[in-house]
Amino acid sequence: MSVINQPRTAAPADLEDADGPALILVVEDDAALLTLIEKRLAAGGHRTVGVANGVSALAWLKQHAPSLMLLDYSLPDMRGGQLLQEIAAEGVRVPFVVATGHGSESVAVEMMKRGAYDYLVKDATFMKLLPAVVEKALDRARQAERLARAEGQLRQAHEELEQRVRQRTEELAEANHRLRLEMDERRRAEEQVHQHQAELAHVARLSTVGEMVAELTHELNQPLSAISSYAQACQRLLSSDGPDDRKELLASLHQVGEQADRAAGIIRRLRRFVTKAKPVQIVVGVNALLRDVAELTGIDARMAQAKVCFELTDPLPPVLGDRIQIEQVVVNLMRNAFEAMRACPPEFRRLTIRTALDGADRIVVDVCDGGSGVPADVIERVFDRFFTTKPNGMGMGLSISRSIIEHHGGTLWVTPNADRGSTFHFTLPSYEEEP
Amino acid sequence: METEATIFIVDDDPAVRQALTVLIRSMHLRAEAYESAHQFLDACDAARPGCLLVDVRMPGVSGLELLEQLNQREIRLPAIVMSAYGDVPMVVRAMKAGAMTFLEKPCRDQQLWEAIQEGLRWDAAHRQQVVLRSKVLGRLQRLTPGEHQVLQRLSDGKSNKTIATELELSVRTIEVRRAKLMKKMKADSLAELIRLTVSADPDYGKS
Repeated sequence: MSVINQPRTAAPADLEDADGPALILVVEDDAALLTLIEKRLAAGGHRTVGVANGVSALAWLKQHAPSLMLLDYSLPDMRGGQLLQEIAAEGVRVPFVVATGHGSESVAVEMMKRGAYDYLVKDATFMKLLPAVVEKALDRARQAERLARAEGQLRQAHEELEQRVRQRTEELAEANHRLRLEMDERRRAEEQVHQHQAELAHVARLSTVGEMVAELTHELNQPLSAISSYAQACQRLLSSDGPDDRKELLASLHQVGEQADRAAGIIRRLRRFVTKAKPVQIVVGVNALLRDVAELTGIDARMAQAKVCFELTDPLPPVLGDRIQIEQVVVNLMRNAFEAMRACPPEFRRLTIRTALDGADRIVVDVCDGGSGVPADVIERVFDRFFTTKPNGMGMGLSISRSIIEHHGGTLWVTPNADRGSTFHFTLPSYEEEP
Repeated sequence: METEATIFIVDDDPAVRQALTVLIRSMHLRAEAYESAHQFLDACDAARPGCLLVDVRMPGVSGLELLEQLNQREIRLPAIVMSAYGDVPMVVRAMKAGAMTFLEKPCRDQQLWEAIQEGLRWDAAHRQQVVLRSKVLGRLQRLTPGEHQVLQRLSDGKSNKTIATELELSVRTIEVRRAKLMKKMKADSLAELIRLTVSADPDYGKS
């Protein structure tokens, strides 16, 4: 018996596609019938390979992928069911139609269960039905093929997508991790800058107080001196045999209390000013802060014989910030202003402190003096560190002030006045309190 | 002329001013308070006896500048300078400007009392001297030119004989002029005559 018949058409099997001529494996031990079947199928435009037994079919199938197998159920070496089992065991999948000489329901059921596309009985109608059955089976096979291919593509696409999603997720996780590290790093750096700035501000405050020590000692000694004098006067009044001066005694004692409060107030303001507190963000009323600072620098104002005028917008929304540092800025600006006015005629020695609301969320503070003004060639340099026009100045005040204001989200700048002197302006973002 | 001494307080701080006023009044002394050097200078009357109590550090004219201005006006009021923040240069400048004492604020009332007493003693002595001086100057003006010639030579330490020779007069004439001059000057001895003359006019006879 022939083992494998070579394909009788010229077209190579691997050029076959779903819509072209189909390659059909015909497994038939009856050589005459095989020829007949092959002719019949060739007439339908198909190529065929004929084999006569199960072993040959199996061997051929291991090498080729036909579009359809027409399988005779009763082969000389094995039953159709056995061949199908072995084919499946080899991992080969092939659509098939079963033909049998002895129609039996049980065989038909078995074959259909095993996946046969159709089941033909080799009776008188066999050759007549064959082409249609084959066409139908081929159609189904092609469809199944297309479906499988589509499914495969879909699965592949899905897998690719999943792969990409996995990859991207990993990348994102990585990026996220890096970002978090960078953020931590940045936060640490910012904290360091913050810390550094606060320390610098503290040093500058100490230096300001150092410059003010003569004024502050005087300021503090005045109430102490008054207390001392009143107390000694009371002693004298009480120990003398003169007329009983109850009224004078009471008034003096009252003054002792008043002056003690005055001294305590100076110490309190001073202590708060030099404290090295961790910078804290609190809600600060700007107008009240400005009036407080005017108290602290009151001696400077008196020594410069300058009048301090307030032109405050009231009410004004509060700001969020470090109260001491903002006070420090105002102290610097006011002291500078008094110094600038010291040498000018009395009528110009006037310091105006103005507050205004700029837009909905910005507060502007102006510190306007009638002094000699800042010369145009140094007007921008006044904010440089170590730049100073004062003989004993360190050149820290304005540079620190600007960094404090910028730290609070505002700006500090200076403009010359139209008539004389200059105005230092700074802004601070207003703070909306939660209802 | 006013005879009761006044303590003139000059301090820009109202509390200090008031307290010092009360304290000084409790010492049974008269006190007057001024809030600035200007105010005091405007009201200042050289004829009023007393003592000045002034703070160094004041707006406008400082305590030291006030002393310098009083010097320029030749007002010799003893001054107690006070400061809450004194240093050596400040003390030196104050003493050069004629301050009598320098007190740190706050000070004990005993210190202040002593300083005031010293100031008032000095002022009284000074005023007495001024009175005496003007009397002596008045007496000097009543001397004749001839008597002046003799007084000048006497204060140079010359004897009657030398003076007589220099002026080409007899010793007797010089003796007569000298006796008149002693009487006019109300001097009991030659030593007192010279002391009175020099204390009233240190430059007498030098021109």
